Amino acid sequence: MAGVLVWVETSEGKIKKITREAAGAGAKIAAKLGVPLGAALFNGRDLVPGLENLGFSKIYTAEGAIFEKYSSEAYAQAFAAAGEQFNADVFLTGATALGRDLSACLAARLDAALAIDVTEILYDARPLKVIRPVYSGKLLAEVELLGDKKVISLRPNVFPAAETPSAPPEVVPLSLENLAIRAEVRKAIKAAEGVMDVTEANIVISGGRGTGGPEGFKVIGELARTLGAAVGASRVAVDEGWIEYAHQVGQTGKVVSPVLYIACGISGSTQHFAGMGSSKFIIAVNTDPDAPIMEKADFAIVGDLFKVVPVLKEELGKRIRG
Amino acid sequence: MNIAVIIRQVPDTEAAVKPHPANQGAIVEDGVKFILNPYDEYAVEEALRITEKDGGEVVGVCIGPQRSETAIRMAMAMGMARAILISDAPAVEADLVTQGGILAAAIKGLSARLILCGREMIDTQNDAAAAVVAHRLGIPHVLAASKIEISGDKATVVRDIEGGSLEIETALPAAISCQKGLNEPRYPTLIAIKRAKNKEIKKMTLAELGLAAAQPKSRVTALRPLQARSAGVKVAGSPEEVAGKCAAWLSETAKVI
Amino acid sequence: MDFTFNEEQKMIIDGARRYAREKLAPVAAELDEKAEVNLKALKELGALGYLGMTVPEEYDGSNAGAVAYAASIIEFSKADAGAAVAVSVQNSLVNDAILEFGTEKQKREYLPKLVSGEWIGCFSLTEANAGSDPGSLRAAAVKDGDHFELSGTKNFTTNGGIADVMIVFFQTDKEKGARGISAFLLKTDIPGFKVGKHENKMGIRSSSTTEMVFDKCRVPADSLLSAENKGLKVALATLDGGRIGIAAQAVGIAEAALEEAVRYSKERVQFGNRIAELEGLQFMLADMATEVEVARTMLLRVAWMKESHTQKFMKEAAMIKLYASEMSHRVCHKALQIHGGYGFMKEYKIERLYRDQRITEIYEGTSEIQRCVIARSILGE
Repeated sequence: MAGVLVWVETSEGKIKKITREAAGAGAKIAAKLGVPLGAALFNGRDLVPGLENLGFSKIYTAEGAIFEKYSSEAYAQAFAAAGEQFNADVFLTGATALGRDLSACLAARLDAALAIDVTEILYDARPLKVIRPVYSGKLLAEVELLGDKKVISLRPNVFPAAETPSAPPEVVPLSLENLAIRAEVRKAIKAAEGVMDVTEANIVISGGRGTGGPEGFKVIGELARTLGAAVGASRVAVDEGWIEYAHQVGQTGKVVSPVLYIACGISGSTQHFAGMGSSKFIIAVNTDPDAPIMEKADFAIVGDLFKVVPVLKEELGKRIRG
Repeated sequence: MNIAVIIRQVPDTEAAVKPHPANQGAIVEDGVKFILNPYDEYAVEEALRITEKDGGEVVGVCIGPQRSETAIRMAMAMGMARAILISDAPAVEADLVTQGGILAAAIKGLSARLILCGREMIDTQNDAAAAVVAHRLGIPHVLAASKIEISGDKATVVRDIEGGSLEIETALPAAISCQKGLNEPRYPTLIAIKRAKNKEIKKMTLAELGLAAAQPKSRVTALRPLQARSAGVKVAGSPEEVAGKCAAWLSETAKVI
Repeated sequence: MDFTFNEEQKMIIDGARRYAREKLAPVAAELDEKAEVNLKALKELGALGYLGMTVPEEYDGSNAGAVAYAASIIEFSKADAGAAVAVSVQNSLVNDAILEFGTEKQKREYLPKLVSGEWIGCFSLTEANAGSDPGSLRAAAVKDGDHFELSGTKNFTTNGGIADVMIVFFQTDKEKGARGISAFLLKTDIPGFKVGKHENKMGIRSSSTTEMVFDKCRVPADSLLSAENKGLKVALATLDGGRIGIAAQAVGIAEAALEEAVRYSKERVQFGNRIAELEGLQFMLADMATEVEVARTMLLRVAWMKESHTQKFMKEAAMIKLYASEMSHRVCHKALQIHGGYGFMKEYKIERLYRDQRITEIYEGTSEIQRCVIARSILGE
């Protein structure tokens, strides 16, 4: 018997949204293959109740000082051990910073097929196939996973977080021996309070050259607060020092897939599209009606962001309040 | 200390890439300019800075077709001393986990205390090389470093994660992938460009590395262009007018708000 | 025939393109507006070796050759034609003149510092009443034992305001006219010299163009570059090479204009279609691309003639300077026309390219002078 195993990614004592998305995709694979779905949860025993009705039959847990902070070595070893006990042949993580790390380590350990940052799963294909963006997001590759073991990381915000009514899962603590780690997290440095990461937000509002400086990002930041959105930026804005690198979306920055991406004063280079081309909806605000982004946006506003964005903030604020 | 840097040649980001009509999973290479993977420049630069300070040699390791030589020469023009190029088809066509094993086999003989590579290869968009190579060599790794400090037998590395960063202390030897922000890669000087052509590129085959061609664990069965986004609604007018239209579109058509 | 760059040339040109895109282009419009020189970039280009491309390694040059040099100037010009001309002056007017006519002592003293960018050089020939005609120079050097006393004012000197070194031409024998001028190689910190008026120009505003004022400036006789009264040869031979740089600048500006026109015509929609779909506009683009290609090919051939030292290239240098600069005029004109009203606005790069292009038909020999050189050559005079 085989199985599908999902890594439960947590952050500051909470289950990350990508976990529910991976559970949704995992449940579908498991159903198609007629195999059980399980989860691996490290340093989060108290989070088990939050993992009901996601289709998990078993949850493998690992606790102890070594699991308190993320460790590639300990987590991969535990994930592999859980997989062995569960007899898993498909492993899912989010294509988050740590999910990518864990999936790579696990694939190396299991000598498995590895597919990174997958945006679509061809559930009926045998062997299983996945779709993932390549060449700066300009092409999509259909990848056939031939290995007995398959490790897949899923792009956040792409797979629906489906509920799967199921009996409460059985919790199976793992007993792990000879855990030694050589690369250890010493310190977790948090971004400034209230700053949402662009990769995790449903709505991202980005500024580019047209913001003209830090003042432009104030205007964008206000709209972001109204919408509960994260603030992104083009490479130009970051290189000019108007906003920190953590906000950069694109080839040399972060890849985002929000429901809504609002590009303000961004012309829309290939490199920028590599980072946000898979957003569900794109709104562009630009003074240049012929900027490339205006041809790709679902809703393009020809206008000055300094004039349009504040009014848009008022207008949307009214609608949200009711 | 000696540092091995994993490098790769990729199409220029500006290049228009098209799926090859006949070769499954390949692109049309005619008219495409190939460059050193941009993230690899951070790795080469970091390796040079460390060895310029503490001594040692920077050696490149590359899997790729013969044309990869130009990317290697670029790294050499930056200052890399020599390189190994593995060009036989089973290596070039292997899946990423298998390639990690091949790279590890090539690096094994280099007595490298540090293995660096770019955060991601911009063609395949794979970012697992450092992790896979490290596992094969039995050493630790850190991905996406934006800061590396070496002191004795340890390195302190800062890596970005969602909503912040982690400071990780790792034993050496270790494999570390390098991210933008780590350094400002140098431009090669003209003199260094001229000297690069005399540096050694050692060509090695899988057999010479003591490896046999392995069954692929994954393969690309099709490559297709991303469905181009087509233009939607375009509006112009007073800020009140366009904002009103946009808000209506968001709640009624997109149903986001 | 082999029309391909070798690997080394490719890397040098790629390096120039990248530097231009990453360091020159982002600030070019701002420097144009403020009429400021990108001195930081010039120093960096020196450190990289782009200021000593024809200088042998024994003088710390990068000895990349005239072909790689011309192709690099094209790349710099596409981003900032003002920065490009500064690079061009350093390489082909200053370094080349010292290499060709300098004493070993002068070469050792000046070239390493010019090549590294520690010193910036200029070439000062023109005067208010002596442009195309060097025989009518008024600035004079009067011999006084083992010294010369220099007096007079030169104008329109490129790099004048940022120069540490100057090659300046003075009348040393009024009777002999053009055959009575001499070249001097000097530092700019010498007593009796000062930089005069900074010109407020139409184009290449990110380059420095100034007057050079000499007031009883006493310099030792060994400051002569080449022999006394042999200055005309220094000027003419150096300008032959200089023309390659200016032609390259013109080609670069034209290439950039063509790129802007192509991009704009693919973006701009009128009457429901992209204007690139209009046949009339397609023909304009086809003509522009053809002219650019013709100039580029001939330019690289002339550069190769200079680099291979096998033949004289005076006529060909004049031809390519003439053709490339006038071609660039036509291409910029059409590119701006394709932009319509937007092309007239400073927000669009074509506005700057159009202004920058104009000088290429004038400096280092006007188009008319080039025609004279060519005619004289084919008529066997």
